[in-house]
Amino acid sequence: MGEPEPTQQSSGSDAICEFIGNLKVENDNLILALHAIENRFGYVPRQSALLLSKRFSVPLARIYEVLTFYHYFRTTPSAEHTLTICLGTSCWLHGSEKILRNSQNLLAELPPEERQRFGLSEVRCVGCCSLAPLVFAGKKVIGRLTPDKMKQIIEGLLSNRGDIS
Amino acid sequence: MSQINVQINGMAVAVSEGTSLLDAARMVQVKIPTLCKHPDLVATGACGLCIVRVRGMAGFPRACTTPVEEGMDIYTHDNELTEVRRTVLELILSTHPNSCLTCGRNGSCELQTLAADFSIRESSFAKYVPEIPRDTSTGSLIFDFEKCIKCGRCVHVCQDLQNVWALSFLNRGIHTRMAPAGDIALAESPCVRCGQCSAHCPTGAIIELDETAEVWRLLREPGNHVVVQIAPSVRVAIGEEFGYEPGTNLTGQLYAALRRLGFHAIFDTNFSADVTIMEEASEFIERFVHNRRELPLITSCCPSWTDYMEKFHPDFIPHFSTAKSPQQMLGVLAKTYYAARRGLDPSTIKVISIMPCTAKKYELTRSHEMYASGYKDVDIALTTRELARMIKQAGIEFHRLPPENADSLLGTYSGAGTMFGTTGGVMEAALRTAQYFLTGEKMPRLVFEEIRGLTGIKEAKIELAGQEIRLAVAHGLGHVAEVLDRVRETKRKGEEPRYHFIEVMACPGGCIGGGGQPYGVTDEIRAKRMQGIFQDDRDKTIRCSHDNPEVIELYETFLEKPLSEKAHQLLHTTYYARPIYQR
Repeated sequence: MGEPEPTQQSSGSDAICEFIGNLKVENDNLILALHAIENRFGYVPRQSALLLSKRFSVPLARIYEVLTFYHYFRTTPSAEHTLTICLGTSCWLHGSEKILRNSQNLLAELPPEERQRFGLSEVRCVGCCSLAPLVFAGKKVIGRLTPDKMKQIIEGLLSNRGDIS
Repeated sequence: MSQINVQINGMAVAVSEGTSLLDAARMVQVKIPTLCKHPDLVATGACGLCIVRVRGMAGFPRACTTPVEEGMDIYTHDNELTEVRRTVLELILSTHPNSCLTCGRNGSCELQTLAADFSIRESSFAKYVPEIPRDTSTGSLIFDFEKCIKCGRCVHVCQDLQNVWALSFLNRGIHTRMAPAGDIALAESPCVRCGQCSAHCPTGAIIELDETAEVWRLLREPGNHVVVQIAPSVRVAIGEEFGYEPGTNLTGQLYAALRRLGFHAIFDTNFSADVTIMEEASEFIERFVHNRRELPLITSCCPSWTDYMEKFHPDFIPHFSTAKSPQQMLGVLAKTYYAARRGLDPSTIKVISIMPCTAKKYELTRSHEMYASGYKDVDIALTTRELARMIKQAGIEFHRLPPENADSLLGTYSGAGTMFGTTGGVMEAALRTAQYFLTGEKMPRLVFEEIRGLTGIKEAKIELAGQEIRLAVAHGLGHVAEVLDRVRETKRKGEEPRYHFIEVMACPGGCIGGGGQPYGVTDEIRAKRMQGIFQDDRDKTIRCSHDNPEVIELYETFLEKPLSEKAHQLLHTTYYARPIYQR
């Protein structure tokens, strides 16, 4: 990720002021503020949500309704290595579900401290079906995926080799 | 408002504009099944059971969210609609555990009733019941998420009706859950334990913490002197559990039933409500006449309300009456005054209270002042629903019981005391005694019609000893902010106080509509229970707290006078600002 770890301080009022800047305090802007926080930290820390709740006079419960409704938002920090497998129609037809299960099993076999470095998730169609099946490794798209290729990716990330392709 | 003519199952009916098909059908005695729509709440069309057929309209519109249009030809029941409804029910049941026999709503569950009505004998769909741990953190309510059918009633009650926002919708689609923000425990959320979620939940997903077993244990345990008190509003609601009309006053039968359950002394919270009035009316006089401390004075006998104020409106702490609630006053008096007069060791006295309320369970330990007797002043608070079950367990034929009387020292009550059970009642009771304190008139004005009824915010100006007193009464926590904002505004402008006296009860209708009362409450039932309270007041020869002979005796022999040092030590409390979220 390369992003700084949010601290109590940086995820608090300073950070919000910095990132949402001149955003007017009105309900319609709440989601923009959440995007700004998400983009900054890779997730929305509870501290930020609490401050946003005060600043926008919106109940915290409503903020979490928004946060958990949209898959885009995260409420916990993302893992060091995120792997997002596409389960859209095209990828699914090319066996992405099997790749997902395989990956889950692979990760489950890792020792806990290594497993924690990975965040495996799924997504519905990312709009490059010609590459199906595909995975997002961090911000990198890797297409024509096979279970073997997926295994190499995970091993590569584990040994911190930058040559995944 | 213009009338709209529609046909329902061939029957012509004229209804006002904006009426839903659901309500229009009710006017011609047709009941369309629902699981999410509740008369207290705005229709959301979540459950999909109330589908109907409208000639010329595609598909099946939902009756709860579809308003009438001129000339509509509506069919509410036919084979196909029944089939679709059955499928909807089967789909709901496919995500519901089959645990009816051990469920807190067995026999009162709306889903169970519909499954029975629709002859559901087998499940056509694969079960999908994710394992989610129960939330028992509040000590008042049990959240069993697995039994949730996602109708959304609790969330709308908590957000729209009560403005507490402890509950919200988390996630989406099949993963949707009703939970506090960010999935923390309910006790860490703003929850004030009013239990309105449990009163509106159609299933057993939200129920009161059942403490009947502990009460049975205390009754069995040798050496205990177990006393019981019943709250004002319990007497006019418990009958619904035994087939009585809502609002039937069953005070005498309740005393008899409690005696048969084995309680050693039967007391009445109405007695201590009279004591509360002696203290609170004196506080009012202190503030109003002697200008000590700020006006308005705000009532504090509702634990959800004090919790809410401490969390959301702590700037009003100086306005709060420091008088404890009647429940706590009776507890502390039982373990001090009653114990001394009867020569009982207070450590052997156990006080059980029967309350319309789930927050009363929380109140028992809300601060160190709830131990003013040197013991836990009230040991256990049961809801009306829990007591009804105890009576049934004991094989008591409640409807055939001859009425009995309460026991002396803490059992006699005035009409004012019973009024505590309804919105406006605490204020009316306080005004009766305040008038007497102010003017010495023996027969003060008794009835204040302006502050009766189910309007969310009630205001009145009355004359008292030649002075104008401005009153406000709010019930349902959703109405509180508006009243308090009006006070804040006059404060900011440095004007005369907008009000001198404010009464708040957390639940719609007050305690008669409490979160621990029998299920199925609507405004119609609230109004009947309220009438039951007013009737009880009218039936009493003694209508004012200061005329209650046992109250007079208490002050003469024990407390000396209202707001005495002893009264402060035993009968008063303090409030603290509390964080809205624990984390």
